[in-house]
Amino acid sequence: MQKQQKRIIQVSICALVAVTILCIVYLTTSKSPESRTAVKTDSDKVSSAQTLPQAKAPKKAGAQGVSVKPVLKKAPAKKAALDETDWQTKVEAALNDPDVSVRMGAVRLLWNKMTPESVELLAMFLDDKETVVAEEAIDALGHIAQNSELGEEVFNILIAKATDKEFQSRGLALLTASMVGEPDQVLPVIGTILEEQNQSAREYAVRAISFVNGPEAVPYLTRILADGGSRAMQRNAYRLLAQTGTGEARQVLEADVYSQEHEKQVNTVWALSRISTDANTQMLSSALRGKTLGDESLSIIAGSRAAPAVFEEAFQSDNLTNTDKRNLLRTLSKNTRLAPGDVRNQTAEIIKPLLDSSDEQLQKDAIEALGNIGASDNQADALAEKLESDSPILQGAALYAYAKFTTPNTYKPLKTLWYDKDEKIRRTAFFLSSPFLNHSDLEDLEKAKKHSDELISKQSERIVKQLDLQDKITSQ
Amino acid sequence: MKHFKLIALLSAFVLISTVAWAGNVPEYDAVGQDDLNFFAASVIYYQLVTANNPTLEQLSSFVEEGFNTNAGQLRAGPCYGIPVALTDVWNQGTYEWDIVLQMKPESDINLNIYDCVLKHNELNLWRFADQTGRYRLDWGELVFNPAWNPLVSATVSPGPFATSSFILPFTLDARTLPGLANVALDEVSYTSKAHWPEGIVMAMPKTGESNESGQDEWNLKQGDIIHVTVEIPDMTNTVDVRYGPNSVVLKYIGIIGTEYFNQ
Repeated sequence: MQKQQKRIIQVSICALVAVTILCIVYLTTSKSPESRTAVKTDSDKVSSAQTLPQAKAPKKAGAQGVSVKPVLKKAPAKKAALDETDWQTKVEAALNDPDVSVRMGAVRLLWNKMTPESVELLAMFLDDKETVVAEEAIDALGHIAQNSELGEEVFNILIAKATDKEFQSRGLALLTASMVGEPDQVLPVIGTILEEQNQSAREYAVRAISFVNGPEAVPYLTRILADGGSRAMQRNAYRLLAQTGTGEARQVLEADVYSQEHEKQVNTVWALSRISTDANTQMLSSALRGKTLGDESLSIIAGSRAAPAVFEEAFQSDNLTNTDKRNLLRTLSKNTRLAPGDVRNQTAEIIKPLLDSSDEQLQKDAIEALGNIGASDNQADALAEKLESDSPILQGAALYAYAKFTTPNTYKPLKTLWYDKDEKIRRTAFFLSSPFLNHSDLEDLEKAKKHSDELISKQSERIVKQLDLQDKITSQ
Repeated sequence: MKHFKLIALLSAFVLISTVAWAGNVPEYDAVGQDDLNFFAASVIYYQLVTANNPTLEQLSSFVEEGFNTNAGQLRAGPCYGIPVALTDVWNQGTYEWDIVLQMKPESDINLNIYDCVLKHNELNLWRFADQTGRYRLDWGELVFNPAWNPLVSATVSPGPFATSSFILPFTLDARTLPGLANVALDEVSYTSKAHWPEGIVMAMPKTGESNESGQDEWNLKQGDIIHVTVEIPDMTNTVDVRYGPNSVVLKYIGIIGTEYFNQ
């Protein structure tokens, strides 16, 4: 009898669980596109007049000509629109709508409603079972707080959620609370969160400091650095110290940029090179001149906006030997290509003075670096003089660097090398210039037809014939 | 008893795992009506996305979207027959696309650039396909110069539902492949060839962190606007390059429930 009762209970529970699973699956599986369509109202219209100022990305100077604007296809009339006049009731009804799109639409409706009622309703959406709805509500609350007098109410709601360990989006709640609160309100909460063993919570705490960064934040940042953590977290903490610029922050940075601990050094260098103030650049320059930076640190600087200023000081320094400077040039050659376009051009400018160095090897490395860093400004003028160097080493390096800047506007200096005594030099120069030769070069080509180098004389003849043929075709 | 325990465990797992997330879907966005983009209409993996939510891909034209170029008039190109503007050898050209994200991303965003690269003055893809940054010398050697390639930049501007405090545009970072190191998408070189697409992986930014340019980053949301620029550098272009409004598509994983439609 007992066994039978046990069996009945087990079967009942299994049946109940199965029904529950089926209900959940039914509620959460994909619906038809129409019913998944977000509910939109007139107040959801994208209007730059009523929403955040949309700072559009700057257009490139001179980009004009053809513009294509899309043809707008309007949304069809909605079945269950949230009526503007009765929004509060409808939003309350949407709170428990099983369709996540409806609930999202309700949150969006509240986005620009700067009222205490709206804040109350959004607070209710924070408890939505879907993370995406809760996070949209957090963003909406942040928007209201920053555009109304309701900042304090919103802050209290969000900071409570940030400290609630059961809240699924406490990270975003903390970030948004930090945007709207004052440092003396936020930092103690961050301090509490930093006590937690939860690595994710600690990472959010660091990110939150970026919104309340200032002298008061420095002790928290130094604590974060002392406690360790992921590279991303450490770099973020160093970055915030580099932004702060206080004496205490600088002490930490100065100590760690000279650290022999690899991670400390590279993370500090990363932060200082990304927040390139004069003070931070000076710190990097000093460390570089002091020859304390490892290869990875140098690579990080070479690929950053700090590269031109830091490396320029290094090249002018008497503290570095020519061998040191050659190593720096090789670092630039390998890494500056990944830096933004204007940084590559600025770096080219700081390399050019080294083309006049009395040290031939240093000159050679400077020539090679000029060719390798990927400057978009043409460097042919700077290299042209080196094409006629008496040193075969420099001449060869200059020719191969010049190849990267040879265009219809810059090929002519190569013609002076057609008669170089070195076969490789003269043939390379000839072939680098050959795609650009035209009628203006006929005289030189006629002369080259009698060149003692058979390859050049034959190619010259061929090019002259091609140009003659072009003339005939044009005249017909 | 064993079966009972298994079912209880399974149901507990299901109960826990189904309450927190609405789900994620592949999504793509392009200039104008997304499902009319040439590649979206032609390529199976886009077609699957469209079939999953045709309304979203139809109601996808936004006033903020557009295409702009100084490279001359749009004409049917030799690669796909779609409208493209030509930048020919040794000339400069700039192409710009503004694309609105229709869903909140929960992944990196793939910037797909569909190329059309041919030798100078040639119109036959099946004989004269070429690669940017490369040319052949008279004695046959192929030369490749990274500095002769197009430069790509990408920034993002806030939309109507942007993350709080996201006001100013910032530069997106790319992940190098292979290696997955971060590089600022600020006039960096990439190479393109024939009619193939090139994929650049743009790292998902995070509120409270900074990008490789030292700028503050913000979580991306539906409605935010991605601005892509491709510049053919002056006097170093060795091939004929063509791009048009259809040439750029963004691909990512979006969060269900965050769909954003046009007016």
